[in-house]
Amino acid sequence: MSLIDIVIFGVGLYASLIVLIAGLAVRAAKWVSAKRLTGLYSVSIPSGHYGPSSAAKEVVKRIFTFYTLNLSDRPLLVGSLMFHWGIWIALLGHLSMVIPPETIGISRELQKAIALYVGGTSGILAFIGLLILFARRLGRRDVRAISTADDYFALLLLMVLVGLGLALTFVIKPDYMSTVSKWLRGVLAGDLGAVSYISVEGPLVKLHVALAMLFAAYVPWGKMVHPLGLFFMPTVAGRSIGSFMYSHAASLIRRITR
Amino acid sequence: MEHGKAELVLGDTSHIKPHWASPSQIQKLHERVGLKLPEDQKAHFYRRLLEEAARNRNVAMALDVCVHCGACLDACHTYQTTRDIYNSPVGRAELVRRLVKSNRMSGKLLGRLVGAERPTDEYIERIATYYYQCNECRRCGEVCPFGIDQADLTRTVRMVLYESGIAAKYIATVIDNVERTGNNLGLPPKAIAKTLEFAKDSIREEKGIDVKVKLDEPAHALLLPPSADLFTNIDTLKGYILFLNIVGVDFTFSTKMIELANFGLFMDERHMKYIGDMVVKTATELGVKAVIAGECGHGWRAFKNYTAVELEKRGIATLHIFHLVVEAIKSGAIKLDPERNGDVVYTFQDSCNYARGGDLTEEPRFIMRHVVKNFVESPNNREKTWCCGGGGGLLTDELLRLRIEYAKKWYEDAIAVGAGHVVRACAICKAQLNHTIPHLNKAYNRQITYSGLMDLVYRALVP
Repeated sequence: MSLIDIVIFGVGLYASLIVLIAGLAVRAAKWVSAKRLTGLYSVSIPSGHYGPSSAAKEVVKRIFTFYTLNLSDRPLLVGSLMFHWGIWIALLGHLSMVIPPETIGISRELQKAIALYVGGTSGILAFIGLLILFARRLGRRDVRAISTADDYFALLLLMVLVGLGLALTFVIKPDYMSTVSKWLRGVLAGDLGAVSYISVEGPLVKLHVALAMLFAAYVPWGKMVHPLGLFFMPTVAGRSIGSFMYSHAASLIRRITR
Repeated sequence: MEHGKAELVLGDTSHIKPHWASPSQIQKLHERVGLKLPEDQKAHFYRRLLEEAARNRNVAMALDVCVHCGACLDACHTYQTTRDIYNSPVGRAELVRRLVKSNRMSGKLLGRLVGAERPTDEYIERIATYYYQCNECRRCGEVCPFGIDQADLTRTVRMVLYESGIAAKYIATVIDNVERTGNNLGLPPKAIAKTLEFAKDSIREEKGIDVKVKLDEPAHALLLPPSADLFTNIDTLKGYILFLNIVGVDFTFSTKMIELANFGLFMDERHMKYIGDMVVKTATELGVKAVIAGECGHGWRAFKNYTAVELEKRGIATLHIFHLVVEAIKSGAIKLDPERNGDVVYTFQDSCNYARGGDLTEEPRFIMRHVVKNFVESPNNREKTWCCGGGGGLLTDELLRLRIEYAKKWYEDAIAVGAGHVVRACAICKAQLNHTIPHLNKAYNRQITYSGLMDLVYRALVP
C-alpha cells in the first residue's frame, strides 16, 4: 500500500464525497436564496392541475421520459435516453459495492451474472448513448457553436469512465467484491487501512475508481449539476402565481345575465 | 435604411434592430413607476445584470443548468428561420453568460480566452438587438428538458435594459399611450363611442338585431378587449357584442380602460402591474361583478396571472369570453349555424400565451367545432404552436423583414393541412398576419386568409 494509494483512495474518497455533497448543497442554496422570480406561471403544468403532486409528477416524467425532446432531432432524444437509462441501471448495480448482495438474498454467483449481463448491457447502452451525443455535438454545426469546454469535458470524462467500466466487465473481470467493495465499505466506515484492498488491483481498475471520484467532485461545478436543477426550476417545480378557477363560468353566466 | 427593408442575411441578423426610445421618452415612463435614469448607463446595466444573475432564480438557473443540448434551437422559430445562433434561446443566453463570466475569477484573469466579455457600449447594444428579436413565445421553455424558459430571461434582460435607458420605441410608445389614455392606440373617448356606434349599426344591418352597448355605465360585467379590436378587428368586436347580447349579459365598456393588451410584459414588470392596476381601478369604480377578457394572447397572460388575481381578491370574478361561449353552447343559450362560415378549410392556431401556461387550448377548439364545417388541426398545435412572429413587441415596420421570415413556420403549417383560413384569437397575431400574409401568399402562391375566433362566432350566430 503506497502513499499515493492512501492519498487517492483514502483521502481522495473522502474529499470527493465532501466536495460532491457540499457542492450540491451550495448550488441548491444559491438557487433557493435567489428569491426573485420573473416568470408569470409555469409553462408545463396547467393551473387547474397545479399542486405539489402534479409538480412532482412533472419532474419524474421529465427525468424518466425526456418527452420534451420530441420536438428536437432524433439523435438527441435517442442518445439521451440510451445514456441516462444505461447509466442509471449501471449505477444501481454499483450499489452492490456498498450493500453486499447476500444481505438482500442474492448469491455471489447470481450477482456476478447480473453484473455481467445486466450491468454490461446497460454499460453498452450508456456508451452508445454517449457516442451519439458526442457525435451530434461535433457533427451539428449549430450545436458545436454553442458548446463550451465544460460540455466536451463532461462527455469525454464519462466516455472514458464508462469505456473503462466496459473493459473491466467484459475483458479484465477483476474480483472487485474482494477488493474494490471491501475498500469502499472499509474506508466509508472510517478504516483507512482498507485502502490495502484496492492497492492490489490493476491500473485500469484504479483508474476507473479514481476517475469516478474525480467525476463526483466535478458534478456540482459544471453542467453535470443539471439533474438537481429540475427540482428547483421555477417553471417546472415552482409555485403557480395565478391559479384560479373557471368552473364558475356557468354560474357566472346566470349571475351576469340581465 | 428604409423601414422593413433591411436585407435578411441568413446567419446574421445583428443589423436588424428596432428604433430605440429617446431618453426623454424613457424618463417620462421611469417617473411613472418611480425609476430614474442612471448617470452611467453601462455601469448600471452591468451591475444590475450581475445582480439579477445572483438574485433572480429564473436567470440564475437558466445560466447554471443549461447543458447546451440545443433542443431549443429546433424549437425556436427565430433561429429556425434566420440561422443566426445569437437569434436563438441558447445563443441569447450565451451573450448574457459572457458578461456574467467577466465578473468571475476566470473571466477576470483570462478574459475572452474563457469566453468572458466586458460591458462595452457595443456589446450592450448587441445584447439589446438580439433580445429585441425574441418573440417571448416560450416554445423553448416547453421543449427544454429542464424547463428553462428563455423568455423569462428576455423579460429580465429587457427590464435591466429599460432601467438603463434602452427600450424599443414602439413598446415605450404603446405603454405610454395606455397609461395616459387607457388604450394602446391613444383613442379619445369620443372615438371609442363612435366605433361602438358603428359596430351597433353594423350588427343591426348584418344581423337585423338591435344590440345594447353600454359605455362607462354601471353593469354586471366589464368587457375588456384589446383596443385593436376597436380599430382593425371590428368583426371580433361585433362578435363579443352580439354574443353577450344574445345570452343576456349585462356588460359595459370603459373609456378609462379599454385595453386587455399589456405591453408591460414586453419591457418591465412594473409597467405590467401599473397597467393591470388600471383595470382593477376601473372595474372597482364601475362596481362590476366580473371582468371578461377578449381575444389577446399576451394580454391574457398578464391578465390571468396578475390582474385577475388582484380582481378576484376584491371579489370580482374573471374569465375569458371563450369560457362564456363554451358554456352558452353547452347550455343551448345560443344557436350557431356553421354553414354561415362557408366551405373554407379552417385551422385554429393557438396563440403562444393561450397554449403555453395560458390553459386556454380546448375552449377555442370546442367553439371552432361549432362554428365552422371544416376544421383541421395544424401539425404544431396546442403547446407546440408556432409563434405568429409578432409577439414580444416586435410589430414594427423596421422589423417587418424579420417578421415575414418568422411567420413562415405557422404559414407552412397551414399549407401542410390544406387550410385556406387561419384562425388566431389574438390581437398581436391578427396584426402580424395582416402585415405578413400578403407577402407570404405572394411568395407561396396561395390565397390564405385569417381572422379571430369571435369573428366566426359572429357570423355563425343565429339571432
